[in-house]
Amino acid sequence: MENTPLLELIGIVKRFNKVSVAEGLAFSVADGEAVGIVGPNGAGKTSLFGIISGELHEDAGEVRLGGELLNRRDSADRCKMGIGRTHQVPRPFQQMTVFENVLVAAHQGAGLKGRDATDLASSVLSDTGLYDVANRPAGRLGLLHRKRLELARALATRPRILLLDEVAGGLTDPEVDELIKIVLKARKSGVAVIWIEHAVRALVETVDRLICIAGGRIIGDGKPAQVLAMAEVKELFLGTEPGEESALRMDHYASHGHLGDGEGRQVSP
Amino acid sequence: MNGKLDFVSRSQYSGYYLGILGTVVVVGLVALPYVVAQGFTNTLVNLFILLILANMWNVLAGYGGLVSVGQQAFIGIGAYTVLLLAQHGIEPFLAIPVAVVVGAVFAYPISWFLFRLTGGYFAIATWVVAVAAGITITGIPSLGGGTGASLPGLQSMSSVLLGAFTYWASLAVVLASLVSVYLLLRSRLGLALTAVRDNEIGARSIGVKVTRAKRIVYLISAAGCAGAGALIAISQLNVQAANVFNVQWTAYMIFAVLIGGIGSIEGPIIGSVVFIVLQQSLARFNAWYLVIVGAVAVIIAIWARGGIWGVWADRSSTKLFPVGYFLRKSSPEGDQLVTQTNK
Repeated sequence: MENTPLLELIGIVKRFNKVSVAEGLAFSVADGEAVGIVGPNGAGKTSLFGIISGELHEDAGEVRLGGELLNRRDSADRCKMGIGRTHQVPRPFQQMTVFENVLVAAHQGAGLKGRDATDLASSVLSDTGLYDVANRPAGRLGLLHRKRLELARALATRPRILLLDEVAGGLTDPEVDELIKIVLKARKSGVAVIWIEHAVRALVETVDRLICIAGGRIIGDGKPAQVLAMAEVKELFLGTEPGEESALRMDHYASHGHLGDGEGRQVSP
Repeated sequence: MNGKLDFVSRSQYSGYYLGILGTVVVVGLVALPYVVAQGFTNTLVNLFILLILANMWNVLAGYGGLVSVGQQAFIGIGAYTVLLLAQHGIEPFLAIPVAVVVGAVFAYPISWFLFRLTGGYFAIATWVVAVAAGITITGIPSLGGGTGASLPGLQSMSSVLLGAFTYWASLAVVLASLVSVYLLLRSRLGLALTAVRDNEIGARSIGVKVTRAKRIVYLISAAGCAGAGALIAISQLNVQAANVFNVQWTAYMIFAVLIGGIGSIEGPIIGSVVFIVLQQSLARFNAWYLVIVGAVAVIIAIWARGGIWGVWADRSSTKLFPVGYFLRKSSPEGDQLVTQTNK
C-alpha cells in the first residue's frame, strides 16, 4: 500500500442552491506533504475543509483517508482518525482555560488519558507559545492567542493531516513569522498540512505545493512559484478590477519581492 | 518550559478545607431531625427535591445544551414506579433506587426519538412525551386512573419516624445526585461535556462524540428526575398523574437553575435555596408570591445573565466544586501555578 495517498478527494461536488462550491474537485495529499490553497473569496475553500472534516456533506464524490472511505463518518470520527482542523473564525471553549481547551482535544481526539494527555497538552502549549497563558480562560484571549489556540487544539488531537483555515488572517507580519515557525515544526514531526490562506507569503514559505481554486474547480496545481506564475491564476488575483481585496494583497506581496520561482526570477504583475 | 516538569492539579487551592467543610455540613444535615421541628425538615425535603431536579436540568441544558420542558415525564415515571412496587408489597424507600433505574431505562428509547429533533422542536417534543406518558398512566385503573392512588406500605410508621426517614432518603438522593454530577464533570467525559457547553461545533471537530455525550447526560437526568419523583410520591403519600406529570415541576427547576446560574454545579444549589426561601417567606402574600418570584427572575435575566453564581464567578476563581485543571510547574521556590501574564 506504499502508493496509497494519505488523503484523497475524488469527484467532489457540492452546491448551495445554485452556487457551486465544488464542481468535480479531485486531488490527493501524500503523507507529510504540505499543500497551500488559494483562491478568491467564495471559491469554495472553506467548504472544501468542511467536506474533508465532515461538517458538510458532499452532494457527490468520495473522501478517503489512508484508503478508507470517510463519507459516512462524522467529524468526531474523522478527527480521531487523524484529520485535525482549525476554523477560520476561532471556536474557543470560552469558559474553559487554555490548558483545558487543549487537554480535551488530547483526551477526545488523540484518545489519551491521565498523564499522557496532560503531558501532550502542556508540550503543545509550549510549541504554540501559549504556555504562559495556560490557566487563563480562553474567552479572555486576544486575536493572536485565539488563533494559536485553534491551532494548538488541532495539534493536540495528534493529526496525520492538519487543515489550517486562515490561521494567519488578521495577524501582523512578525506574528505571521511566528506562526510559520509553528507550522514548520509540526511539519517536521511528519504531519501533512493543507493550508488555506490569503497571505501568500506564509504559504510559499511552508508548503510544497499550491492549489488554486475558483468557482469550485482547480485551476492550478503544482509548485507554488509555477502556480502563481500561471496566467489564469494571475488573472484571478490581479484581475482587471483594481481595489479588490485579493488583488491588493498580491500587489503588496509582489512589491515586497518575496515571490520568486525556483530560478530566483521575480514574478511581477 | 519543559512539559515533563509540569504537573496538573484539579483545584487552584487546597481541597483540604473544602473536604472538612463538606463533612461538617453533611453530618449536620444527617443529625438535623434530632434537633429541629418536623416542619423544618419537611421544608428541607421540598428543597432537596427541587435541588435534585435543578441539578439534573442544569446538566441537561447547561452542559448538554438539551433544553427540555418535559422532565416531568421522568418525575411521573419515578413516582408511579414506587406506587406500583408498593402495591406489590415492596417497601417504598427500597423502591427509590429501582425508580432511578427505571427512569433511565425509559429514557433510552425516548432519546432515540427526541434526538432527531433540535432546539425548539426538541423542547416541545419533550413536553409531548410527558403529556403522553401522563395520559397513558391515567388509563390504568389499578394505578388509580385520573384520581390517583394513595401510597401503601408506610401506614404502620409513626409520623415522626416517617418524616425523619423521608428526610434522610431525600438527603441521600440529593447527595448522590450532587456527587454523581461532580464526578461526571471531573471525568474525561465531563471535560468533553464542558466543551460541548461552550462550543458544540468546536467540540465535534476535536473528536468529541457530541450525540453520545448528550445521550448519556439525558439518561442521567432522567434517572435523577425519577429519583425526585419517587421522593415526591413518598413525601406526599399519594400519587396523582395531574400532579407528578405537571409541567410546573419543569418551571421550578428551570427557575432555580437560571436564578442560581446555569452551567455550574453551584448555581442550581443557590437557585434552589433562593426559590424555597422566597416560597416560605412569601407564602402569606398568596398570589403576590408568584409576582415577586417572577420579578426576581426578570431582574436576574436582565442584569445578571449568569445567575447569582455567575456574578460571583466573574469576580473570583474560587469554586465549591473543583472540576477544572490547573497547569502547575516545579520551581526552586516550590510548586506554583503557571502564571497568567498579560502578554
